[in-house]
Formats: sequence, C-alpha cells, structure tokens
Amino acid sequence: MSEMRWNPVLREWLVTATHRQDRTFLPPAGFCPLCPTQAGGFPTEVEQESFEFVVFENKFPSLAREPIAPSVESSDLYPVVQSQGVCEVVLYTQEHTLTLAELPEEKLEQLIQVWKDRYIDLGSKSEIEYVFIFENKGEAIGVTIHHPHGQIYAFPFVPPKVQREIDSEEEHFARTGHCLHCDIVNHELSQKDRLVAENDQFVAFVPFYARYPYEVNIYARGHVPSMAQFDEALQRSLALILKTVLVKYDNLWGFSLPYMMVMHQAPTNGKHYPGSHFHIEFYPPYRTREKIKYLAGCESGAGTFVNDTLPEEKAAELRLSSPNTEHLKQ
Amino acid sequence: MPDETVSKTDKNGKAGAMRKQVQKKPDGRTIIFYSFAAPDSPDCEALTVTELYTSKLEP
Repeated sequence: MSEMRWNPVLREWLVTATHRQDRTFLPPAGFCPLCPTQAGGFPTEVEQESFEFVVFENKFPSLAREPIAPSVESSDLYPVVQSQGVCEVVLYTQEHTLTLAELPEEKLEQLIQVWKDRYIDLGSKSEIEYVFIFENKGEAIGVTIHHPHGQIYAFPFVPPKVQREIDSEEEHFARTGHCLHCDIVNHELSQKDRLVAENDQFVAFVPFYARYPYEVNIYARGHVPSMAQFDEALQRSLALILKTVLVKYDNLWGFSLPYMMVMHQAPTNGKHYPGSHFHIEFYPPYRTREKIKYLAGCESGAGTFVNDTLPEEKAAELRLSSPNTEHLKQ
Repeated sequence: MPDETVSKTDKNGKAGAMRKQVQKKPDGRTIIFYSFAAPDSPDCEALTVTELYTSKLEP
C-alpha cells in the first residue's frame, strides 16, 4: 500500500509505503538478492551469471509506475493522491564485497554514464518532476542489503529540500545577478580552508554550513545544471574526484565509512531553473571514529542542526587523509 | 527490445561505448543491463550513437 499524503502543517508530501515493511533485511551470506544468479543457485533479481551494471525497478517501491488507489479519501484539509513515480535500484558491480570507493576510476566513469542515462530517461517522462539519485551505505544508515548499490527515486514533485534550494537560488540571483552555487564554489576556491580536493572540473569541500561533521559537497566548477550537460571531460573529472573523496573517507579511520550520498540537479518538469547547479552531497553519520551523530530533538523537532565540530577543522582532517587506495585498510 | 547505444566515450582506451539492453522481469518490472564495449573493439565501432536529449531537458 503506497500513497502520498499532504502535510498541511509543513506543506510537503509524505509517502506511505506499508509493503516496504516486508523488504529483504540483511540476508545471510550466500543469499544476496542483488548478486548474479548462479547455475543451480537460488534465483536473484539478476537472472544472469554475470553483469557490468544493472538497473531494475525496486521490488518494494515507495513510488509506483502504476500506483493503486489511496487507502483513504482525499479531503480539502488532507489531500491524498496516488504515489506515482519510479523507484530504481542501481547495481554498481556484480562483486558482492566491493564498495563504491573500491571501484576503479574507469568503472566510476561508466557508472556516471549510467546515472546520466537514468536522469535523462526518467526525467523525460511527463509525470516525473525530479530524478533523485542517491546511495545509502552501511548499517549505520539503515542499509538492509550490503551488495554495492544505489537508488533512484523519480518523483512526481520537486522534493522540499530541493525546492528550498531553488527558492534560495532565485532570491540570490535576484539580489546579486549571480548563481548562488557558483558564488559558493568561487568563495571556497579562494578561501581554501574548507577544501578537501579539487581537479580541473570539480571541487570538493566541507560546506561552511555543514550539518554533519564530515559532510562533503562535490560541485562542478562551471555552471552545469545537471548530468544531461555532462561531456566526457566532466564525466572523467567527476569519477576522479569521487574516487578521491571516497578513499579519503575510508582512510580517515581505517574502515569503510558509512554515508548517505545524494545528488542535486535541475528538476525535469520542463520549467527553466537557471540557478540549478549539479552537486553531490555526502552525509557520513559519524562525528568521531566511535560516535554517531544522531538526529535528535533539536534536529528532528526544530529542524535546526547542531554540529559539534568546526567545518574548517574537519576539512583539514580530510585533506590529510590519504587519497591513495594502497593505504585503504580493510 | 533491441539494444540501444546511448553514448560513446572513446578517449585513451577508457570508458568505451555504452550499450543498454532493456528487458521485462516475469513480474513486469523493468530491468536494464548496461555494458561497455572497449573503445578499440569491433563491437564499439559497429555501434551508433543515439541522441537522447528530449524537449523536457535542456541540451
């Protein structure tokens, strides 16, 4: 059962997805549903003995291509609509034990082409307003299957956090005549104390306003609204800086760091968004090697994050963390 | 459904051409297999690039 309920207090949609209670939860070794199906073995989601990249519709989707009717009546106070959309799973590799950080740069470059294709393909559908590409990694984040994979939610609306960014972009442009994100990138490049890595096309930094201690944003240096504008140079540069940030994360404390990785880019509803600027945001849940940053009363109830650290200090730690895979400890 | 080549990245022996094979699972869900031909392979040479941009997206 899945539907979208309007929250008139916060003015945002909530998606119910009761069937997801039954989704696969930490299957035992040897019974991964995302590994290729082996001869004589149990059937998995991918009934082939090998693959490079696979994308399939989630068996337990929050948004459905052909949604069923809502379970309750819609009203003026409580509007309810079908939860139309698409939820996809992106398998990065057939190797069960690898992580995104361990993929070769060439493989990351190919994955970026897959993401780009999904952004364009899903975004071209009339009912899809926003293509949200993300990865939840690690049990600390709530991952239920360890096979290296990400997800894509193709929403029938622009999600509230993205809409808030768009509102800020429009306000900043009206006030300054500049792209907000371009101004942030240029400021970070000149300031340098929050930089983590950079190359010719992208820059990675801990944002001035980081909510999580080790939050990192990866921005296109130029004004690139979305992956649809990516050329070979951008794909290659993004693969390189993605690898650098991911390996730095893992080398920071010598274990594979859990994180949420989300991509923000232009909506796909046909409207013009001159302020959209492609970027990736990483939210690792750790505030020290042993301690988790929980979203507690202030964050969840007031919407105000309390960061126990200074972004400038965390950026310095990440700059010192080795970008080389030979230092990666398993 | 036929294979579709959606991009061709042919530089310094890197990504190669992307091939996309769309299938339906028995329960009706879509599953897509992406593979990459080596840039110098006959496979890659035989593929044609498909223009993907649509009117909904900025080129």
